[in-house]
Amino acid sequence: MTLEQSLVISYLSDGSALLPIVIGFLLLQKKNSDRVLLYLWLLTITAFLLDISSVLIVLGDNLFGNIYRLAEFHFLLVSYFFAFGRKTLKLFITIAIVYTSFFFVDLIFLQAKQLTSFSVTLTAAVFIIFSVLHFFKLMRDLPSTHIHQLPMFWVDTAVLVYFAGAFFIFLLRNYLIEVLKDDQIVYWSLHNILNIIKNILFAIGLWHATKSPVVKSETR
Amino acid sequence: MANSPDNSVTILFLIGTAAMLIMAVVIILFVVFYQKKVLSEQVKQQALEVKYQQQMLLAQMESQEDERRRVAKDLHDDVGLMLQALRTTTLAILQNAPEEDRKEVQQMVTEVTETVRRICWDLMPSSLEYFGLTEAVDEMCTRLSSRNQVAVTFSFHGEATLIEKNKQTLLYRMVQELVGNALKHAKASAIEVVFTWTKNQLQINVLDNGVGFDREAVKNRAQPGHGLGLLSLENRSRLLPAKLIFEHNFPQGTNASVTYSF
Repeated sequence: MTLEQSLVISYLSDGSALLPIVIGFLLLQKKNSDRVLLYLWLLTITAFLLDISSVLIVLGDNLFGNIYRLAEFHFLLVSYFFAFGRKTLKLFITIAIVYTSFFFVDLIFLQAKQLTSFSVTLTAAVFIIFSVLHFFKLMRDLPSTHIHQLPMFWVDTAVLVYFAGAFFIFLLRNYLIEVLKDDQIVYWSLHNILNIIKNILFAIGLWHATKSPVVKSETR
Repeated sequence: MANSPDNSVTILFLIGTAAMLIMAVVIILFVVFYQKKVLSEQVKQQALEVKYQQQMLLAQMESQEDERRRVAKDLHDDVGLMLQALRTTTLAILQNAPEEDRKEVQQMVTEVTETVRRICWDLMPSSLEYFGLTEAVDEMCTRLSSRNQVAVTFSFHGEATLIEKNKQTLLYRMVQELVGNALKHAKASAIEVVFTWTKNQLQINVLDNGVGFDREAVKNRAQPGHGLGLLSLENRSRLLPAKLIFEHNFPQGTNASVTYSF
């Protein structure tokens, strides 16, 4: 793979966030929009803005990346909190506190000189588990409509495919950068392809949410 | 990627990533196919329930028809004979009574006999049993015309086809209900029943020039008993199965059509 090809995939990955962002505007026009999807929409906006910022403003220590990872975790966590229902409030608050603490410990002490691979891997592990659990929740609740018409089915699919595919990239992130320097564009291109797939799947979920007047991902 | 530790990490990475992606795809496919399977089971279950309900409804209608037949037969055979005996006996007893009294008693007995005959016929028209649907509906229209101020006419087009007895009864009851509704509620001055027979279809139109009606408003009326006739029409059309449509009859009134394919 050439550097140019890798860059094209990278730009496509950044630009793919526009797809759910545009569809999200349609969702905003609806009354009682699904909060789960609104938070995911905000996540894609954040991702897009931070990607643009990292291209325009050069700052050291991967500042934008770290802000994005922290924002990503919390936006997804809030989305899944609404998807699982208010009864899980204590659990989600605990996870948020534990994760945030771990993130800063990782950032300041554990991997201070490197990219925060541990906390990103933890993010992937947490959301792989949440997406699988939510899939089982969808199966248990058995919606009368076809499951592919549910926005949350697409969100779970996006989260599961992205984090499962990128899990080992996150886990071996520093090793890939430091040791496998020559091949790292291949790995990051794989990550970017997964990101494009995730954004397309988010966009499909948001599209279904704009079409369906009754289906809501939230549970009380 | 030349040295061996790098290679083993690359292999670990590739196997790990592939395994994770396969796991993700398997989970997603499992969810999709599981839900599809459950949905198809639900559809099958619903179809079975509908079939069971239809069978129950059919059994209920058939038992209703049997009961009507039995009551009509009892009325005709027993009460009819008794009335004949009563007429003969009364006239014999009143042999020496004034002519006026005799005529009055005779007229009363005749009226009672006619009423019993009419009830018998309404319950189970003999023409339906012996001559079929077209004859029975024709006779019904003639009788209703003579009994009411409203002109009830019957006409048919095409060649009548022999259809099952129980289906004939269901169609007859539907026409009876539609004409009855037009007489009771439509304030019509003329009702027309038209049978159009084709090779594999019978279309029945009951047209009136009355005030027309709003089907949903009738169904949603809160008072008990309201909309029951419409419900029984819908049940019968489901059992046949037939298509029941209510339309505006130009320039005024209602055109109710029942289309039955055999």
